[in-house]
Order: sequence, then C-alpha cells, then structure tokens
Amino acid sequence: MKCEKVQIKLSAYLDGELDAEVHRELADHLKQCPECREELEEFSGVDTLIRGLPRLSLPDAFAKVVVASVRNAVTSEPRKLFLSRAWKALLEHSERFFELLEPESGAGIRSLDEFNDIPASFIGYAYFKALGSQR
Amino acid sequence: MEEEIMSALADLPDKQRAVLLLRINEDLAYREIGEVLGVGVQSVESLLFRARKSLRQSLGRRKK
Repeated sequence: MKCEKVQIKLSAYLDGELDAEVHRELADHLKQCPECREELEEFSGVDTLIRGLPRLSLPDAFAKVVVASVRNAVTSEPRKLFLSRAWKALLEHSERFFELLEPESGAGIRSLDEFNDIPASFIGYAYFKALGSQR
Repeated sequence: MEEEIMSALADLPDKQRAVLLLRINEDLAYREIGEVLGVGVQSVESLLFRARKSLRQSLGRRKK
C-alpha cells in the first residue's frame, strides 16, 4: 500500500474503524514507514490536545430534562435510541449548550418546548454551531 | 495553548468540528456519529480525516 493511500486512512485507523484486513495492511506499512508513523503520531497529538481542554459542567436537573425530552423524541424509532446516550454525554459537560438555551439577557432557561419541532440531530448541529461561535 | 486550540477548533467547518468532538470527547463510533448528525459512515470518516489534518496544520502554523 502506498503512503498516500495509507495517510488518508490513518484517521480511521486511529479510531479502530477500519476493516480487519485494511487495518492489518496499514499496521504492516506503519512498521516500515517512518513518514507515515510520524503522520499518525501527529493525528494522535491533535486528539490529545483536544482531550486536554477543560470540560464544563451542567446542572444535573437541566441535563435530565433535556435528555428526557430527546429520549421521548426518539422513542418511536428504537434504532435511534442510542441518541439519548450521545445526548447525555454531551450534556454532562456542556455549559455552552446551556448558554444556547439561556438568552444573553439572563432571563433564565428558555422552555424546551421551542425545540419540539426540531429533529434531535438538528439540535446536535445547533449545539456545535453554538460551540463555534464562542470565540 | 488552550486558546489556540479552541480558536483552531472554531475555525473548522461546523460538521468537521462536530464529528471531531463527538469522536474524541464523547467516544462515539462512526455509525453513532452518523446517526447524530444525519450523515453516512463514509462521510464521518472523511470529515474526521479533514478535521484532524486541518487542525494539525493550523496548530503547526500557530506555533511558528
């Protein structure tokens, strides 16, 4: 396998998301290619930097309300139930999502009802848009 | 350094930032990330690759 092909797959290799055969091919290549090993280490370094960012906390009660709301929204589609797990994880450290719901005026948490008509996946998108605007 | 990382993250396109944080911070599998964001597994893989590559380049430049 050529370096160019290997490097495109390094991100998925790092995440353990490649098929066993492709994973093995990359592992073999990495053993003998210092350039690709360095590339992998740099990707890994990016992950380490992000994991080192501070994780903000959210009041438990608020997280429960939103998680319950999301869970209700996806109950009719069992295959999407794990969305609630994703949401719980997101909310456990997400002060920024809290800020999204709380207007700058400081008037308090808005009703979650306003999210009722929005698909859960879109709320996730809004969350990350909010994260991006906090500069 | 923390500010530099946050700034580099904020510079990423929304979907790249989303897949990266869902993967690294929330430890979700590609399939799960795809469900959360409404995209396919191949897109998740491609977005993650581009996000990591872009962050690496961006942080490398800021160090100089």
